[in-house]
Amino acid sequence: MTEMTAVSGLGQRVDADEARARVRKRYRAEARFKAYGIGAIAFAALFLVVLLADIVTKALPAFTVTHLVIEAPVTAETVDPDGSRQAASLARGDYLKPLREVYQGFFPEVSGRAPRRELNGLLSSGAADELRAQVMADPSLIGKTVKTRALVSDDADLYYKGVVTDVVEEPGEAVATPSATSGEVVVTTSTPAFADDLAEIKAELSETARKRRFEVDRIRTLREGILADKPSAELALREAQGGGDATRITVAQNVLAKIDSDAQSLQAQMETLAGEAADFEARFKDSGGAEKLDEKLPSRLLAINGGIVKITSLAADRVEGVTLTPLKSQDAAQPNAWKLLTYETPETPAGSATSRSPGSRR
Amino acid sequence: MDATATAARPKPTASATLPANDPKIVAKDVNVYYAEKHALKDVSLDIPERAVMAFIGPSGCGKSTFLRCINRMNDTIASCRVVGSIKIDDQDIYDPSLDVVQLRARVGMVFQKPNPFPKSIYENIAYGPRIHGLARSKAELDEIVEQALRKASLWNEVKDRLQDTGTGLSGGQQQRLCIARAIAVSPEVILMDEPCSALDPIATAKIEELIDELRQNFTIVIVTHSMQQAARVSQRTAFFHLGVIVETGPTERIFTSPNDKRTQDYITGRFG
Amino acid sequence: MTLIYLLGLVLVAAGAYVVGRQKGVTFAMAGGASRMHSLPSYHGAYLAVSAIAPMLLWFILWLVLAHRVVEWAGMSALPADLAPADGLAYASRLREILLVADGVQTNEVAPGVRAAGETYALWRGLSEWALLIVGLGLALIGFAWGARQLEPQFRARNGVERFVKVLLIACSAVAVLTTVGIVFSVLFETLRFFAKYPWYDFLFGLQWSPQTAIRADQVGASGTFGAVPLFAGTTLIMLIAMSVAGPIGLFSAIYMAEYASPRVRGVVKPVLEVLAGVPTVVFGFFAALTVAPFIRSTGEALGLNVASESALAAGLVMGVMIIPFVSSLSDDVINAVPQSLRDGSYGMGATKSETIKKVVLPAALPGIVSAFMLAISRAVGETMIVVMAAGLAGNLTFNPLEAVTTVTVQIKTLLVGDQEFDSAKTLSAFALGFVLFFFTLVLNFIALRIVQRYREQYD
Ligand SMILES: Nc1ncnc2c1ncn2[C@@H]1O[C@H](COP(=O)(O)OP(=O)(O)O)[C@@H](O)[C@H]1O
Ligand SMILES: [Mg+2]
Repeated sequence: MTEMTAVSGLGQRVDADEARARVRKRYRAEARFKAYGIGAIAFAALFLVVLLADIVTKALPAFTVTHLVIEAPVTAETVDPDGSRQAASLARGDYLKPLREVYQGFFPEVSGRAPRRELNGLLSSGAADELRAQVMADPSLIGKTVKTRALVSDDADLYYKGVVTDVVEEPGEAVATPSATSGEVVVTTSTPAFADDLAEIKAELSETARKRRFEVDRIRTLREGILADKPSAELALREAQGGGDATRITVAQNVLAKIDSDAQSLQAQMETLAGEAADFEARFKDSGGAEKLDEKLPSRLLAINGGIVKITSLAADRVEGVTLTPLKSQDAAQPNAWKLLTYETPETPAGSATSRSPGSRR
Repeated sequence: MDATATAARPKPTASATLPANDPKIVAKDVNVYYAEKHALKDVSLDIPERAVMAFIGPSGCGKSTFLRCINRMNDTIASCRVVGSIKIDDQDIYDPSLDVVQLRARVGMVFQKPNPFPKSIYENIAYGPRIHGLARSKAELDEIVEQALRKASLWNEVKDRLQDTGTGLSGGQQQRLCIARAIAVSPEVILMDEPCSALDPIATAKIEELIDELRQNFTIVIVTHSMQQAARVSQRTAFFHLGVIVETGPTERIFTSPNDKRTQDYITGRFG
Repeated sequence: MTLIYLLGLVLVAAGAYVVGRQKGVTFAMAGGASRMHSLPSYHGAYLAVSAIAPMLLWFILWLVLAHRVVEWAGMSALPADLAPADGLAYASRLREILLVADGVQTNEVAPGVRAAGETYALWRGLSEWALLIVGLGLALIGFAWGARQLEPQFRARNGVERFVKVLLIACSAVAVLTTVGIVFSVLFETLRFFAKYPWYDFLFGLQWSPQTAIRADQVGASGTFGAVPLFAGTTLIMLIAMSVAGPIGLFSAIYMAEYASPRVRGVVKPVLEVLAGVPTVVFGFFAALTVAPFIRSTGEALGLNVASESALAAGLVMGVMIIPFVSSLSDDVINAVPQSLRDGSYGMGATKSETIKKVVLPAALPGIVSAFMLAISRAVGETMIVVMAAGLAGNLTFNPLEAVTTVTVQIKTLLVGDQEFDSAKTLSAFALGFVLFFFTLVLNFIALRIVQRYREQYD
């Protein structure tokens, strides 16, 4: 090729090296151009794949439901008010009652009206549909214990599908000794087993504070932007008043009033958020031993000695909490015989004021 | 600069117009297939330097196909496969190490239907020099454009409207613009595929005149349907028939005393 | 009854055709086909047309007039004390009369109304019979008139062609009039809005908050309707969308038209077109639930301040949605560039990309520009994605990370819900619609003009 370029018409004017370099450059441009085309198509195709995958993964859980398998005693008194074994009577029976009784038996420690209601709320209002269908199809089941599937409420369903929160399990690293088996419990560990968690909570506090500050800044710029329009709006109002056109005056007044009310509500938001941020920052700086866990932080539970403790305060080697299910014993638990569960989503998400307990919707 | 380049070449003498010239292009056993169709069969041909070679023959006999082999335009047709060897100045143009882009700069092409780009006349001519980086300054490019237009006998007609669009010219002017466009990169060979078939007789005469001038500096291969045209402009003629070259030789001899019966039939208008 | 009438129309047409054709054939046999002006089938068609044309006209006339006459008859049969006072009462009285006439409700109705209902039913029956009888009579007259004209020299073909032409003009007139009607109805509502709210404040005002009623005693305006934030939001989202769809659509088109083998093309083209077939709602929730949170978290990781509903999310997804609009049309225009131009460029020793950049794209440019224009008008008119992903806040900003709103979204928001129809709030939707219509009209007009120029270049 060298010779060829040399003898060619081109070779007489452009030296061979330069010509070759130029051709190489042109072919690189060619390859690049083609790559743009492939890239563009790949992007579009990738987007389509992501779109479909996203829809499918988001949709699939909606096609399944979560049941609780319960063996419930079906007695004639509850399900057959007339005692006739006829469809009309069976249809009026209360099938939820036997289910709830068995279900509540799983949680003997739950007592009092409100906690009971909350517990019942985890069963769907249609939980007994399957039992009813079973009994109506076969009335001879009355008087027996029937194995049935009870639909759980949608909150519980979403929890089981992993939509509500991520749960992290960490095995206990030290010997842990609880102070009681129920009610308020203090668990102390032989080594500082919760040091990591404490650091994590501190980090979360500072991160949350940072996010609040961020939001405050955002709202401040928004507010300043709105207030920047004020002089011109005032000018427009004065001009309109000078002109005497009623419609224009109204419009200008409206604009001005809107600016003021927006600025005011943004100011209020800013103050709330700034207060929260200051609170978090103070807690972060406070290097005292124990950190309080509230509903704005991820929930932490301790599974120990067959019971569950919800932690309310956490220090490096000592946690305080209340039992959700009572412990079987007060014995010291060996490493790996107990574990710490972290529910990543706080009970109350940022910004919302009231906590919503599961089942409070019905 | 084009002028100096060509001036450096020996001017052809009167005898150079005779077939005594060295072969510029040597084709040996060229076979071309379009998918399953065998379009050219064992074609071998020498094309002399700085002379006009005409390809004649009935439609579909493979003239264009062979012409397109010489600057590898067949590469752009996916189904087309070329076997055999074609050498220009002893360089095999189907050698994988050879660069098509540079080859086509050496072997220009003019098509059946004038196909100026939808740009100004100036830009049409400057296209080749630009992509091949032949001009280092605007003045140099202007010079190349002017020289190319002069050589294509178009300069006087368009020099006042170089910025007008090329598609606005008449058919004959458009074809000369295409010839000028090919000349602008100073090729050694110019291939013309029925360059006058879309033109009126006066425009045709002008192009023929131009071809006759160009042969002093370029090796020209022209496909034509008109026997008269072949006789007027070419020094050598090859007669194609059904994908093979039946006969080749000095134009005069082919037209006066063909060796092959088929050539005889064709030039006397018995078929084709 | 109308069904019977239309069936009769078809039968009449068929019968007249057969008769006319037969007559034509007779002429041909008698005098030789060469002496006839038109073919026998044209004689048939002519006769059919002369029979059904009056039938059709009568049918249209009947459709427009008959129910008015019947209604009038029913209403005038009402005793004076039951006669309706206003439009609302008229409508409800008419409903009662109709119920009686249809035999749905005969008791529990005032005797006056019952009488009116019966009159109504009687007239309705009469009008239907009138349709049939007058129609058939007209058909007969038309048939006789046509049949008398038929003779070997008769120019039946010209007559039929004239009829077809009139029919086609009538059809296109319907389409054109519909468009004109829509434009005018929007225009009138817009003018009503401008009577309540000054147009310069609408077009140049910087505050958009149609919801706020600040004081109850204020008349006219119940909010501020400065549309500039909407125009800005629309422009912003359109720009984001086009900066996605433009390059990606164009490069896809170039690759498909110039590089891809037929097999690759056969796969890629439908895949891209699937994007155009995805319902915009689906794109909308993808933007709102997946893309927007992704942008927000990415932005926060980079220390940027991102609103949870951002113009960027909506614009990006909308851009992907309109990729096929750009790519399909551009692909077509690139393919329409004559191969001879490419050959010319390759013959000069240009590489493929040089040929594309310097010859093919400039030649296809007008078509590509109009593809972009159509994509833009699609982007500007898109509502769903913006509603779901970009929010409703009328922020005047060009920051793509903020929530913005667009003209279409506001039109939707203004018209959903139950305000009084002639409140400034509802009417402002028409003004926005008019602006939008005007904008897309101009865009389409430019696109069409460019395409026309392009056509002239390569006939
Ligand atoms: N692109 C193509 N694809 C398939 N067959 C082709 C193509 N171009 C030419 N041919 C076939 O090759 C043969 C030679 O064609 P061509 O070289 O164009 O003939 P001509 O001598 O008329 O220029 C013809 O039979 C033609 O059908
Ligand atoms: Mg040919």
